[in-house]
Amino acid sequence: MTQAGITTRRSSVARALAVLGLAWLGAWPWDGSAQDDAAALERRVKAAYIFKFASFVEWPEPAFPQPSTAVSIAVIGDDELAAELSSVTAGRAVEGRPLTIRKTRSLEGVADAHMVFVGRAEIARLPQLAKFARAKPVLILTDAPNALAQGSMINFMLVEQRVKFEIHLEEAERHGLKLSSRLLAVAQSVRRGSP
Amino acid sequence: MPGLQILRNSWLRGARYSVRKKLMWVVMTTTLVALLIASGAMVIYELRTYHEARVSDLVSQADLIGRSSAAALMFDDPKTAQANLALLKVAPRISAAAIYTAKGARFASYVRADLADVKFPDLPQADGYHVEGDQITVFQQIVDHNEVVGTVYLRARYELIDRLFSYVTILGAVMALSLFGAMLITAWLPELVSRPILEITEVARQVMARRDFSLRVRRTTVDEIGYLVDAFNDMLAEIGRRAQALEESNRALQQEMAERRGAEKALLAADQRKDEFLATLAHELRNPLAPLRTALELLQTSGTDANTLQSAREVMERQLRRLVRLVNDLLDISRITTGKMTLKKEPIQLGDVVKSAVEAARPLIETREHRLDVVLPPAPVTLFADFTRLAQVFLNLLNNAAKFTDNCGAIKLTAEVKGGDLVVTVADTGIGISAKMLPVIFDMFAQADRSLERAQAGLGVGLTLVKHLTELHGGTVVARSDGVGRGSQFIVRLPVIVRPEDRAAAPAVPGAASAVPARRILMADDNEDFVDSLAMLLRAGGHEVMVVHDGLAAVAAAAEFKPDFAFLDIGLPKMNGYELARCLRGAPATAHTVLVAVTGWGQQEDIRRAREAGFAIHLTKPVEVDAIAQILQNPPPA
Repeated sequence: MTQAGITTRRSSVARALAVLGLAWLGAWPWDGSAQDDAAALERRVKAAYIFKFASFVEWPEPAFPQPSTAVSIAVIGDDELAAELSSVTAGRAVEGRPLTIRKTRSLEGVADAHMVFVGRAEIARLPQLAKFARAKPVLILTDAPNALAQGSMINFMLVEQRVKFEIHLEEAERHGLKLSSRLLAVAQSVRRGSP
Repeated sequence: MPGLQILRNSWLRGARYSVRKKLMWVVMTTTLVALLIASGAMVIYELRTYHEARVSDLVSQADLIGRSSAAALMFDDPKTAQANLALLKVAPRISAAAIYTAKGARFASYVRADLADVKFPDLPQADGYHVEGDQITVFQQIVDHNEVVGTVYLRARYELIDRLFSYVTILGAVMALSLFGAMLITAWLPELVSRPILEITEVARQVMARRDFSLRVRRTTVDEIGYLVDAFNDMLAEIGRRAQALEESNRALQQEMAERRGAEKALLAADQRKDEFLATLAHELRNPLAPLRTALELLQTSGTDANTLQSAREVMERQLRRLVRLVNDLLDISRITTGKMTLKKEPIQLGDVVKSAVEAARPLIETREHRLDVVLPPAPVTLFADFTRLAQVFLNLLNNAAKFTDNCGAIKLTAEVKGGDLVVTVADTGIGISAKMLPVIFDMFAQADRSLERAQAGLGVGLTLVKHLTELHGGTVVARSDGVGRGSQFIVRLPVIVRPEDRAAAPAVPGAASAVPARRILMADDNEDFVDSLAMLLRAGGHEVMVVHDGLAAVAAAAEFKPDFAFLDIGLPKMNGYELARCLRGAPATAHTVLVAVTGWGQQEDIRRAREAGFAIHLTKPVEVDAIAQILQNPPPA
């Protein structure tokens, strides 16, 4: 596993294989029309994962003033993912809370979000976002190599044509978030705080 | 049920099995049945528990695997799922496991290291378990946040049969041990139960065999068998008592019968002897009559010369004496047998008694030409006895010796003092006594030899009198003989008293009639022959005698006659002797007359009544002339 392998775009064959692997998961309905589009498939997997992350994360009390307060997910720099996420979460709930998805380009747009996904297109703004969201209970997700070093807490990656993720536990805890150990167990790697 | 009935009838109740065997069967059967029921219940319970535990164990294990693998499923991480399954190697009973996705595809799997080719189901099935042979399979859905994310499949060894086998093995061993223990207990039970019963049985058998009711069973316990032993022993004692009582009464009955037979025989014998005695008596009474009549005819014939008259008188006297003796003997025997014989005991000298007896026996001894030796102790011996009766004893013995010894025999009378006793032996050289006769020689009417007896005179009462008179004196008499023809010995033992004052007071020799002064004598008796003859004798003695034959005549005569002595019969006509005596005693003319009762009754009561009536002296019939002479010579003080 090399950094270059992860960061470079995969061949269409590789993507197709990843789709095949995802098909095994069965986490969402299989759509035959997406078969030829490996990228779309990868996006779908990520959208599903983001939705599922919500149930493995525990936000501090003030983040949800009311039991019916929706889980707010902001997407920066990946409109396609945002659209995908909207379709995934449509009509679904996390522990009784509905989910709201919004696309944004400004930092203000993420002010009250519980989760923020920073796409590769806007990855350069990650440090700024991190700085902006410092000490706020916001789960920052990325799909760019080395993003954990710049303030991301969960970063997607492809390992053997499978969508995997790495976790920066220390960063999440710094924001007052608790991640389920079960989530940590299936993470590709977990960066823990050095005491 | 018929089977059980047969079992009950032929087996437990069977008489051919011992109590011990039955007990053993009871214990063994009870133990076996209890063990079987307990074992069965235990096995069923255990297997059920095992099954439930196994299922719930597997389900919870599947649940655990599902929970820990939910995230792996959700985030498509078969490695983690595989790792989770790999943890199952610590549970060696699980042979295979798999995780299926919600779509039904196998996501991860596990096979125990020692197993090679394991076939997994193609598709997951609904929740639940399934047992097939020695394998159990469990399907358990994985649910996360109300969403089914997959299914866990587990396959494990289902060891129910093995378990069953081990349980049966263990229980079999336990059962064998228990039965062994039960057998030991049954071996020990007889000590408690059947041994006491066997002891009772054994004793009962012995009792029946030996008829010994004194046997007893040893009591070793205090339970029901103990009571049984006690009751058995009591029963034995009771039976023993009854058997003994029965035997005793049997014996008593037999003895009584023997006694009765003896008594009957004795009665018959006595009866026979009495008949013989009567015949003898008639003979003896008749014998003197012929010579008496002849002599009387001689006396009545005038012109008979003096010598012939003298001879006739002698014959008459002799025959009369013989008759008197016979009658006296009869009366004595009668008195003795009716218990009316009384003795007038007084201190007397042995020498005088012997002398009197020898004198009386001398005529017969001389007739027979026997030689008589008399040996007396050197010193005088004093006895307290009835002179007349004791003399009678010796006289009878001497007469007996003289009678039963052929002419010219030797008779010896020996008297000696041995210890405190006087022993008088009369021995002869006569016909002797057979051993058979010796024991009965003193019995009444016993006669040694009938044919011989005919030649001898006698009633056969002499020795009976000897025996009774001796015994009345507190003495004994025994007969000895070496056999027929070898002579006899009669030994009389009498107690002796030797007291100086008694000897001093010994009376003078009676019978000196010559010195008697002439008296006036009244005699009252209705037996005219008796009283007339007696009167003649007394008149011959120089006395003045008046005879009357009834009471009233006696009163009249006495008033006029004023007798010195009055001999009065008690059984007088018109006025009896007692009344007469009172009358005479009350009359001035006869107030000092010596009244003498003459009666056939000699009992103490008669004597007392006579004294009360005023009699001074009581004479018992027949009255000897000597007795009268003595009274006339020494009248008692008024």
